[in-house]
Amino acid sequence: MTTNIRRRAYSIASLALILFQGVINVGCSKPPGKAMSSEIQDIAHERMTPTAEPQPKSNEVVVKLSPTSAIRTGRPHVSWAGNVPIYEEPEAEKLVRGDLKVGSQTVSFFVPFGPYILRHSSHASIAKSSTIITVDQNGNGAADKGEDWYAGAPIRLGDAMFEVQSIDPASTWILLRKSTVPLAGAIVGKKCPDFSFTTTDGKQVQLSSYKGKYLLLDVWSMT
Amino acid sequence: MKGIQEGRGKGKLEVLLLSVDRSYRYGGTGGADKTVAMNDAKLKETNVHWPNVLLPQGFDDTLKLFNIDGYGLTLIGPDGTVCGVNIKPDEVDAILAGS
Repeated sequence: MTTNIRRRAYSIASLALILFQGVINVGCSKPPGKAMSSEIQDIAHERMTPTAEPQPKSNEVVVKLSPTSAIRTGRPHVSWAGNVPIYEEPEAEKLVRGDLKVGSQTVSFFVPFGPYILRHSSHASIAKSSTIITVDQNGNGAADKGEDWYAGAPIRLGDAMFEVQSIDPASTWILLRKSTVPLAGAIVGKKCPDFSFTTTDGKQVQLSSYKGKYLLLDVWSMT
Repeated sequence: MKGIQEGRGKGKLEVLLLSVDRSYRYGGTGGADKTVAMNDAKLKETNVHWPNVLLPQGFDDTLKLFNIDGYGLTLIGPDGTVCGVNIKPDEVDAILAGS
């Protein structure tokens, strides 16, 4: 009996939250949580004074960031009101561009305007909480959707991994540190990172297990 | 994918399932053993016999290793080169047909 009452109360509360979200989405041209419009952010960004470039250590590099006409389709952001997802409408993001020579290759990457989140909270996944850096892996000069990396984890530039140490709030430079983590990232035309897994039936599999055959990795869940 | 795998000849294409169920509340509670049992039951129900890996951190693991943060297929060639990311089954078939 008590359980049924609790369930009913929970259902009513969930419904109320969904309706509340609907009213907000209908009533506002922009979703809640965005304190400033992108236009105001642009003006604020232009008025920022660049901070001095840091002195890089031997394993670090400072890359100058310059204005670019490239834009990035904003990534949809989901926040939660209890168990109810609130979907924020994505906006096109303006970017600055950096070029870094890695080995014989020059790799371009794109950074959005600040503010920046460079470390992800231990309570949140990487995807939800750090700034997206788009690496132009295919060299077409555009910030394509499949080329996103998260600044809270090492990013792959060419055939090397780097950690983002800091970014000028005025977006004029980025400080990268060479990472010691193994090469990561599935990039078309590049070697797949080595992996070693234990399957649910207890067998060990690694990339070399599939040498001479095509291998299809299928990311799935029970939903 | 089963049809493509069988149609292109046994041993030409292998499939490895990477389960991200630990990213979710219902799949992440009750310990990994429970999630493995749920995965096994689902695969048995759908008559899928490919090897399955339960990634302990779900999508965080696919991100760290492959920079993949969603569902989908990634095709790796016989020499270990990545042939396609977020690739569709008909594209997989076309690559296999041309090899």
